[in-house]
Amino acid sequence: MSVDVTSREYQQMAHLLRRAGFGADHETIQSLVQKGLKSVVHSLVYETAPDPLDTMLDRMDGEELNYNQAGDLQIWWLNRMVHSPNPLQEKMTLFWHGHFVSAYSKVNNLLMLYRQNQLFRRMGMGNFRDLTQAVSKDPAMIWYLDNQYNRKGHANENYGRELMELFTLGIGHYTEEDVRQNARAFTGWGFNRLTAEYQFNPEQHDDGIKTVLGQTGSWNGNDIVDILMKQPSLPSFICTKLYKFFVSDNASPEDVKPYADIFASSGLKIQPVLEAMFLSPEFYSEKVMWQKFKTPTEFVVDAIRSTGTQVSLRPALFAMRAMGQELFNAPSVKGWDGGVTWINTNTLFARFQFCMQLARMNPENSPMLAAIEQTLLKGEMQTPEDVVDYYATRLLHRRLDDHSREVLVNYLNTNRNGEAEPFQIPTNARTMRAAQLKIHGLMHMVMVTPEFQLV
Amino acid sequence: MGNSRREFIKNGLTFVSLGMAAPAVLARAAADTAPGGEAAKSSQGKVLVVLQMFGGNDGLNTVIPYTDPLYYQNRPVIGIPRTDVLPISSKIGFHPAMSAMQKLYQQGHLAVVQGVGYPNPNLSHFRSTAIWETADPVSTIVQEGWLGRYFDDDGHLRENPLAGINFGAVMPRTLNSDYGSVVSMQNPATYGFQPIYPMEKNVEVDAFTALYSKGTMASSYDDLVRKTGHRAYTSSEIIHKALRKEQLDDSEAPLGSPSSQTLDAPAYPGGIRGGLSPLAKNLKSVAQLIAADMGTTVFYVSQGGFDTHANQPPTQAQLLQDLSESLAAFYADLKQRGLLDRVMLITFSEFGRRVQQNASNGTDHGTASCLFVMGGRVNGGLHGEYPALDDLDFGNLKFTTDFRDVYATALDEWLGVSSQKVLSGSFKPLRLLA
Repeated sequence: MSVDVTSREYQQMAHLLRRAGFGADHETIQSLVQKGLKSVVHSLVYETAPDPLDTMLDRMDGEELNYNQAGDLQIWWLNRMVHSPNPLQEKMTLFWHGHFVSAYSKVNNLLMLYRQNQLFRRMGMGNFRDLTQAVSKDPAMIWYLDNQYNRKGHANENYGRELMELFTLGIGHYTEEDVRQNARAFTGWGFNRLTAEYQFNPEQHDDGIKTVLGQTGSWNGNDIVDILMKQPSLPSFICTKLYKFFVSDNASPEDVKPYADIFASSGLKIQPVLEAMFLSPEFYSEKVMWQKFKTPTEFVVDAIRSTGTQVSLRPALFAMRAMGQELFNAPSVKGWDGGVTWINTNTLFARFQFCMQLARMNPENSPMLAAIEQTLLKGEMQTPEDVVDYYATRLLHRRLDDHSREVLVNYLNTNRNGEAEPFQIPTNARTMRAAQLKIHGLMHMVMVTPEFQLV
Repeated sequence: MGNSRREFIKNGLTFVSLGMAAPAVLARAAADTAPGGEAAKSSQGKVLVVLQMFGGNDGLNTVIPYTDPLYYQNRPVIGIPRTDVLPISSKIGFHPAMSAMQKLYQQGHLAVVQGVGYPNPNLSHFRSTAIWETADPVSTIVQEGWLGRYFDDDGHLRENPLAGINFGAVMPRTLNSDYGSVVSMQNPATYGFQPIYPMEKNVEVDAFTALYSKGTMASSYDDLVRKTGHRAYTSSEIIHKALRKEQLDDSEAPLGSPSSQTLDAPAYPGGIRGGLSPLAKNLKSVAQLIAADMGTTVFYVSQGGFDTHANQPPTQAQLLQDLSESLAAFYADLKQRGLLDRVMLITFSEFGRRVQQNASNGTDHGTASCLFVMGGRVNGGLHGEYPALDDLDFGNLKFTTDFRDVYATALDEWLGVSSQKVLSGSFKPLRLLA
């Protein structure tokens, strides 16, 4: 049974899959509509499908990946995002990657960054306290924020500060003195350079009395994390970030409060918060749907997934850098600012250029181009409007607005000299060759539309 | 507020009518005519270049108080030995990696502003950066940058199709503006809309401009993306036209071809990954674009990596050398092009660092630091007072110069607008300009 792309059920499902994952193809959306929103949200949040990717991905694209190359590590993760049977798990990994930031520009050990990424994948949907404890002992984090140099009598404040400012409480909920005391508690938390694993160095640890956020004791790092977890500002701080990531850039305290309450009462579990977000009527409201810019990662992965493109992802890495997001290399410990900062003149041109590369593929590497050629040859499309709508359904999962649709139809009906020349629907191999330029060009232009920049 | 809302509606309507009438044609026409007309007036005018040093540069090891015993007491390992310091005066001098800037200083066109900061310093990178960007140490809700407000307040700049250019993938808040046409780019030569096949260029560009020219009054993401796309195309056309006209696309020019730079080409420094360093490459582009006379008033470049919590000496030395050599090459480039008197460059970093070094031969977040101002009309030398090392605030320097005094200098005496309005307060310009 086929569901109309304009139906509310289809639109909601497509929206859920875009936000809670990296989008899906038209057929998948159709079949999931039959299962119903509630059931799909439940599987996304609570079920983990067997994941064959770890072993497969080493040789993706017919080339062996070398984990000592940052580019290969980035390709490894992009491939996961394109192919994983657990899209929300990958999306949450991306969330934590931008929250608990570590970057290869400083951490000169890709094995550590790989393990940190796996840590997010393993624990990212669980309990926030457990995750924060694990991150505090994560070698990539220790290196990135200099905690291996944090020693008794000579505290290095970098981790102690960012743990409160960026990872748990937010600015304004602690004092400079708390930063200094906090740093003391994490003295001696380092890593072993040979094994790249966490290592506690007791002789470097300051086990004196510290007062952090009004609590006094001979605290170590574990104690500090526990103290932080009880701070009243924590649930709304974390839920504001989750809300901005999944729902809307405009997160008022009132918007966030229901989720912060769920988070607090569940003992800081992530899953119930996500479930509540994806089931809320607000998530499917006009002020949320299509009211966000795709992140560069979403843009690239969605473009690859919806076109089915099967090529090396290496060019995507250059494109993503120009779009302002390089995986494993956030610009600062704050991660990516996101929201409206994704779109400027430079990043927009970078997006168009990446789409142009996808649209220039040979049909044998581009299932989308192969499928549209077959559909045309079968006589299933009669007019230029049909061709535009075909792409809109499969690339945007919506109808174009009237203006965009008119412009694209007009594009098909204009020759390279700018003269009106009606597009001829190809019916055989010869006329297909004549039409190919426009068919590829139209795919590019659909991905150039304002609509394709939104999620 | 009432005024700006009215302006918004006016601008919005202009945009809609421009878009709906004959989008592609008009957009192209606008791009074709822009470098002349209104914009030409300001193109003869002055240019401000802002150079951000992200991460918090350690001012004490940049301009060094090499006769102060407290300096060496606080920095037994990372203190720069007295004999290595490049002297400015009998008390302070440059970091040894800054010989190129020392020469600029001696030529009288480099000013060192000492002890720059603000009251109640914030030691968070992000909050302190926001304070410098918005010029507001109190409010956390101000979104517009101080130069964004300059664009907004100056009616002439609002009509300028290319008032500001940022080099980088992300627009800094300093340039955030309600109406100003500010663009981000990484490389002027490749900045633009690329068609799928060259012969399809015109028809694709027409479709693209038509898709993006129709603005709506709604404050939606759709509207914002359309406006950005429209601005992207218009600015790219202006830039390419201007660069072609000036024949300044010099990276592609064959050796020996006639160019303003064949003799004594300024030596922009290389980067660790080969080619020019990113800062040098961007400053070189800035010089080209100033020469191309597009009427752009503000250019923004940045350099990162100053957050030296551990093993500071080699990292900071490499960064300061890149800064120093890039600035010297930029200076020489402007001079050759006869543009030196039109340019004022200001550096800034969100904070300096703790006076006492930490156990990992690095420094933690601090407060006041020095900054540099460079240009043909700049009154070189030392400005402000060096902060006292024997009068600290929890181990941090007390500032002696408010950073908004530097901004006021740029606004009042260089860009010629009232700093009072842009900075929402009264600040005293320094004697930075001759």
